[in-house]
Parts: sequence; C-alpha cells; structure tokens
Amino acid sequence: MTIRDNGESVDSQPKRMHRDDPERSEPVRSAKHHVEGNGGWRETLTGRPAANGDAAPEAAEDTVGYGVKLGYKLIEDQILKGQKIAEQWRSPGCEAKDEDEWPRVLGRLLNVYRDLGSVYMDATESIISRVANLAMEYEPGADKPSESAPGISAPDIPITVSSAKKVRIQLDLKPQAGGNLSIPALHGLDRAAEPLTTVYFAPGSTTNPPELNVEIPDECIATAYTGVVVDADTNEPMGTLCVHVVD
Amino acid sequence: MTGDKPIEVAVIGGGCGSMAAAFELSRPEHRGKYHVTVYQVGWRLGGKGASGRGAADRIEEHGLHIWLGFYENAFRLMRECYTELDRDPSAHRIAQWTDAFFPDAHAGVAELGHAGHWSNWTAFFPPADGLPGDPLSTHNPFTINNYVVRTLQLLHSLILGLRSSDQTSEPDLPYETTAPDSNAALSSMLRLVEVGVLTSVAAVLEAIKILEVVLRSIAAYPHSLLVQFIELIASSVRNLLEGIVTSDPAVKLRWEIIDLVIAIMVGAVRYRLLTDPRGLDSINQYECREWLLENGASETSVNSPFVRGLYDLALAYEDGDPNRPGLAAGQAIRGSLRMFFTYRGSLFWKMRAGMGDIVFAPFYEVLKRRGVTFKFFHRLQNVRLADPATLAPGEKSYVQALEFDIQAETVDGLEYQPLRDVHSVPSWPSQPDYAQLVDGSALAENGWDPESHWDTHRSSPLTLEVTRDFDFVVLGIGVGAVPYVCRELVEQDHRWRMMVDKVKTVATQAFQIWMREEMSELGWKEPPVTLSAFCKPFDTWADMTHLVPEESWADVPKSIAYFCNILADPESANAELDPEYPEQRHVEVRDNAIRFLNEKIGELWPGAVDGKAFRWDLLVDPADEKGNGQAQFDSQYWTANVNPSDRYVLALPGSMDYRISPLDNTYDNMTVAGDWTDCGFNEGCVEAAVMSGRLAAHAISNSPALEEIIGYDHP
Repeated sequence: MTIRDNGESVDSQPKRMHRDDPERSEPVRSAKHHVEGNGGWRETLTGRPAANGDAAPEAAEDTVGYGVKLGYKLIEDQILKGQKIAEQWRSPGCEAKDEDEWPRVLGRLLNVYRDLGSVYMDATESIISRVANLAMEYEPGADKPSESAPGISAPDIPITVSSAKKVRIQLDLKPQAGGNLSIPALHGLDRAAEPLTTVYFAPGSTTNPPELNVEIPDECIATAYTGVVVDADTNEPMGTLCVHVVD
Repeated sequence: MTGDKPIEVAVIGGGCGSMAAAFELSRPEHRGKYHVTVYQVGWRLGGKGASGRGAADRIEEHGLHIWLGFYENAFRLMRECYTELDRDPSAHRIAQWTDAFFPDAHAGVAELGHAGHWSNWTAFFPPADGLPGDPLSTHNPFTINNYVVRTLQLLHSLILGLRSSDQTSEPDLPYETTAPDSNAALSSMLRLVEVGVLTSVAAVLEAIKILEVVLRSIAAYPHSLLVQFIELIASSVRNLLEGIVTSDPAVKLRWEIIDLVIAIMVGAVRYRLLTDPRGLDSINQYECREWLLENGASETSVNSPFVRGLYDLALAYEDGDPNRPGLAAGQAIRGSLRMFFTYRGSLFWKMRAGMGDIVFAPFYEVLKRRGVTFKFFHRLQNVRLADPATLAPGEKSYVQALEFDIQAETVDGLEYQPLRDVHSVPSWPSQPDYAQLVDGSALAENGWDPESHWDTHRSSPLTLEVTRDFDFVVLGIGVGAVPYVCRELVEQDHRWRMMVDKVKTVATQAFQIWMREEMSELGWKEPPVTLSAFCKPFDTWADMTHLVPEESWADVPKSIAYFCNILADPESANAELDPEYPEQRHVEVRDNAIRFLNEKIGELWPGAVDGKAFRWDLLVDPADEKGNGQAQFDSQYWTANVNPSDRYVLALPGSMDYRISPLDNTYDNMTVAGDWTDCGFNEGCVEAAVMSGRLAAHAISNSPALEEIIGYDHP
C-alpha cells in the first residue's frame, strides 16, 4: 500500500517511510448501505421476495393508482364525517353548551384537515418516489432480488383442528424456523380463560413440514389464545401462534 | 517484502489493541515484510486485561473480564491463535479455544425494593445460532432489516408474555394469514392513525406487524405519517399495559423493557435514524437516558435495573460518580443491539482461567514463533515529533524518536522469560521473576512495582530513532497515559489536546474472595450468574467458582466471587501527584470491600452473614493462617486501578467526535490502537480494542481489508 519500496537511499541515508492517506477513515454508517447491501430490501416477513422483476412495472402502476385512490377516499371520508358532525350539531339538543366552544371545535376540525392534507401530500410524494425507485430497481437486465434461504413458512404447515367451536388461527414463523417446533401453553386474553394446552406440533421430516394440531376443549372460553413458538432443540423463539376461539 | 530488510514496527503496550495489531502484521501471508517489536512496561502483557498468578496459584485480575457473544473480531483472532498454537490436548488442559472459553447464558440484575431490600432477577438467554468468530457467510446481521425485525419480535414476545389485563375477547382488527404487503401497510397505517386509538393488545400486535413491514422499507413511506403511527402504537401500548404493572419484579422489569424498546423505536423514527447517513452516531450528543425520556420512556424505566445494569457493565459514570451516569445515546443503542441481537452461541462467554492465561499467553507464544520481539521492562517516557523546521514542503509531521526508560536489566542480558506453567497452563505470575533480573533480590525486598505510574526506578534510558530503529509506530497505550508520554502532541495538536480533554476515563476497583462454602450454602439459589445493578460501591458480581480447579489450594475453596465497579476520582486532581496516592486508594478499596461485605452482601447471600456482619471465617487464606475477624480479608485480593493507563475509557455524550481513528494519517508513521480510539465501536471493551488493533494494522499494511473488520461498517 503506502510503503516506500527501498529501505536505503542513493546516498545511503535511510529514507523515512510513510503512509499514504487512506481511502477513508470512517466507518460506513448509512442505514441505506446496510439495507440494500444485504439484498434483503424487498423481502417480506416470511423471507420471500416481495415481487419478481417481471411483475414490477405493473406493481408500480398499481401503486400509483392505489395511492391516489386511497388519498381521495381518505379526504372523502373526512368530508362526509365533517358533514355528519355538522348535521348533528344543527339538530335540536346538540347545541354547544358554551358559545366559546364553537371556535375551538372548528379549530380542531381545521387542524384535522390540515394534518390529513399534510399526510396525504406526504403519501403522494413518497408514492411517486417509490415508483422511481421501483423503476430503477427493475431495469431490464438488472439483478433480481435474491431468493431467501430455504426454510419453512407458516403457509407450508398443515393444520388439523378439532373443535366444536369456530376457530381462526394465525401462525407467524421466522424464515429460519426448522422442522422441530414446540409451543408451550397458549394464554387467553380473557383472564378467566384457562391456558390452552392441547395445541402442539407433530414433528416433521426432511421432506415434510411439521403439522400443527389444535384441539379445542368444549369448555374452552371464547377469546384469543396466544403464545410463542420455539425451536424444540434450542428454545429460541421462532414465531407466534394465535388461536381465536369464537362462540 | 521490499528488499532484504523488513519494515520495523514498534508496538507500544501489550493490551488487546496492541496484540491484535501485532497479530495482523506478523501474519505469514505478509512473508516477513514487517518485523514487530512489542515494548511493554513491567513483566507481563495484557494492559487492563492482564492477570497474574499469586499465592496458591490463585488468579488475580484487574477486574471482571467476561467476553460477550458479539465479540466477533476478538473471538476470530483468538480462534486463529489457538489453531496456530496447536497445543497437544493430551498434555494441556486448555488446548483449544473451546477449552479456553465456555458459554454462560445467565445474566441478572438486582433491584432495591420499597422495603429497602434488594431482590434479583436472572434471565436465561437462549443459545443463538453459530459461534462467535464463525464466518459471516450467509446473513450479515448488522443490517437495519435484522435489527428492526429482531426489535419488533422482541416487543411482540414481551407483550405476549405480559398477558394484558385487556378483557376484550375480540381483537379490533381481523387477523390475516400473511403479513401485509406494502400497500396494505400504508392503507392500514392511514386507517389506524385516523381511528386514533388501538383498543386491544391484539390490535397493538397487529400494528407492530404493520410497523415491521413499514420500517423494512422506510423510505417508501411518508415520515409524518410514520411518526404519527409509531406514536399511536406507543401511546396505545402504554395505555393498555400500564395497568398491569404489579409488585412482581419480573413483570415490572418486562414492562420496563417494553417501555424502553418502544422509546427506542419512536426515537428511531423521530430522529430519522434509519435514514440518516451518520446512523446511530447522529444522536451521540445526547445522553442515553435523556434521549429515552425525550422519546416517551418513563422515569421508572430509565432508572430500571435493566438500564442501570447496562450502565454498570459499561462503568458509565463520569469521574466515577454514581450520580453522574453518562453514555452517548447512539453508541449505547448500538451496543445494546449488538449485545442482544447479534450474539452467537451465548450472550456471555467466561474464561476457564485468568485473562492473561487465556488470551495473552497464547498471543505471546504464537507471536514469538512468528518472530515478534518482546521487550519487557520498557516504560515509554516520550513520543518525540520531528522538528517542523526539518519537514520538506508538503511533508507530514511524523514521530522522530521514542524515548524509554529501561526499568530493569536481565541477568547476562538474556531474554526475559515471562511465563510459568500452572497445571500445564502457561501463565503470568503476579510479580516479576526477580531471579532473572539484575539486583532482583533488592528490587523484591523493596516491594518494587514496575507497573505503577508512580514508580521511578530506571536502569538506563533508551532512545529509538526513526529509520534507524523503527519505521512505524503503533501507539497502543491506554488513553489515560497519553498526556504523560505524548506531551508534544498534546501541546501542538489541537485535535490531540481536545481528545485528551474530552475522551474521559474512570478509575475502577475490584476484589476477589475465595470461600469455604458453596454458593447454594451461602443462600444463592440461582445458577452461576453475572449480576449487575447491585448497590455501590460494588454493583457487579460474577460467580467464578469454575476457576477452583485451575488454582493450587491446600484448603480447596468451594466458591469464588469477583466484584468490580468504578472508583470515584478525588476532588483535587493534585492528589494524584502524591507518591502515596496509589497506596491510599488501595487502602480505600480494602475498606470499601470490607464495608460492602459486612453491610450489603447479605442481600445476595443471606448465608454469608452472621447477625449483621460478614462471616469472615468463610474466607480461605492461601497461607493457611487463621486470621482474626475482618483482618482475614487481608488474605484476599483487591485492586485500585488508578494507573493512568489502567483507567477505563468512557463513551460520554458529545465526546465521540473527539476520538482519533487508527486510520488518521496526520502523523504518517504513527497509528493508534486501543478501545479509546475511533474504531467503529466506541465503547471500552475487548472487541473495540481488537477492532482498533486490526485498523492500526490496516493503516500500515492495508490488511485486513476494512470489510473484514467485522462490524466496523455498522449503522
């Protein structure tokens, strides 16, 4: 790198060695570098790429349309709400108790519209920038997002439910979740609910994912039961499970 | 190599930074291009990590040394060192790095309750994938993606674990089978902000999931909306969960961690940490606790044992004053992210013997084999700069000479042999081997301490001249010593003057005791633990009973405990001019330890106190002399680390910009190494020192590449 090559000069007086200025003397701190550099910029929660390159232009157009539609809907909703509130105030029995309250209420309404307008403008601006980013990311010939590491994901797991009641199940797993999962008792949001201990994973094999078995006792209280899914070997949390029991 | 003559590198100091630099520069891949000479004060390597073997071969440390599972650079070098050492496992108790380090998954904090009694909370940190020092081949963990996901998962799990008192059985948002895509996330954010309240834990959890999607591609969302959204989550979580806070310390602590995590997430968005090119450095001017308060954390949370524990582990108290905690917010968060989310194998790793035996003896042996020269008993007195008048036009300033005191000569000029085997483990003794020194007997009788800053014994002076004796210098001394040996630098160079003024250090104190009863008999029913946030003056305790087999006791102890903490500076700086100063502080630490054992230790070990005093007969005396009462403590080990070079560097708010990087080229034949430098992880620890040493080697040889210095490039 920086070193003068010869240790001796022509007149036999040794020359001093020195370092050249480094290419940089500070770490790269920018979060942008640490997101894009990882290739994980567009990965979803389950580790799957959000979209492939071929579908991107269409997705970009959808995004613009969606954003604009959303913005209009938001403003429309607020106008309708404002009209509704105004009608209520005009109706008998709904007068403000204090005349001084009107300016305050109107001021609050104006603030709400101002904030929403600001949010909408921000949203529009950012959607436009997203389109630019998408277009840049999916230039023809550009590298596609890398595939995620193989693993199991929640949709891959067969679920067997045994219940006399209606049940909805939400299973979220980390991309690196393996085949040997376990789950401690699920606890109900309703304090009166007994922990649900009849939920378990049947181990999977190298070719088959584990199977989630959910057995709901008849006396089970209707509420949401939640718990952490852990790797049975390491005890490391691998995701969450919510079993929603409805009467 | 260029020509026949290797490039001479003088490495000054023998701590982690210096050893890392020497290790890199002497790698076989350089084919002998660099010849390294290490100049070390006294008889042993290690700096603040030095340890010695005292009576009964007991291990005597400067303090408590525990390696964290994110010390990627440090572990990588240690693993390479042990591989190259190639010890025969049948002949050495500690042959492989896995013999030298073992995982310790338990951490604890203590808290003072309303009734005036201390309770403790210990946690098991599950093993993480891989081992520290493994190649980072698949996933770079130092990404915003990873941190966001891990932080929100932690928040998710903590909230689930708390089991809210929320009584609603119906979540106010439908569960979805997959994570929302970015459009749905935007829509949900707008809708939730419009609604203005999340009325159930389930809704909060759903909102956290949306937040995760949003933060992974933050640039695509409007900032004002994001701020509103995250503040909505924060206020909702606090409203929903505050009611469940109970007197149960475990539940209370969990809630406090939730509160802190939320404050960090709110602050990350409000301060645009995820998009600022300076990364976390952009908030280093803020004190961490104040920054957390600013972002909505409660007073209770920022004073929680969890936060105090982190401050205690970082010895983060300005001037050693427990009432002046100080930690730069950005570095504190970076340290926490690294500590909790990037550890591999285990959160903590303990050493099987003293740090000197485990770290510095192997480095010494390997470096010797590579041809590195060690000069013990060399005290640096002055770094002399070139006369500015002699500089050629455009030439940078440089180090002209290094002036040393040779503290002692060896008999017949033989090379000093610093190690001796203890149970087949090459170890450093706690004192010089006087038999190898000229007039050694007299030095021993006078109680000579060549490591003391106040020692003036000198055999002869030595001046090393540039080009004649060295080409490059790695200044690897502690920052506390810089004003004493770099006087010209500090006088002439504003940056160096500001550095020694702003990058402050703190003295530390530590003591070790060896006891006749097991921890369980003393009343400690938890697993062996490293516990912090206990009371001053010794807030951190580690159970080190695993060291018993490495020592040589006639009366074998059944437990060993190490304690450490900061040591407050004297009110007058002139106090340090008194030659008796180190002895005064030594006595002070002894008194502190005795008072602590008498008055405080019963809170942790109820079986160690009898009535209201410590059971002094518990202590094992290596001389096997039956002491009387608390005089028995004199047979134990304690230290006041007041030498300038032994002082621990702080990461105070507003100080980071004053650190000097090993890559700085102002003096183009000198670089710096140590945890006090601007090394990418600016907090006093082994990892920072090793990163710094690797950077110093890069500055001289362009190797290792900056990309190979793990975690140097980090948000």
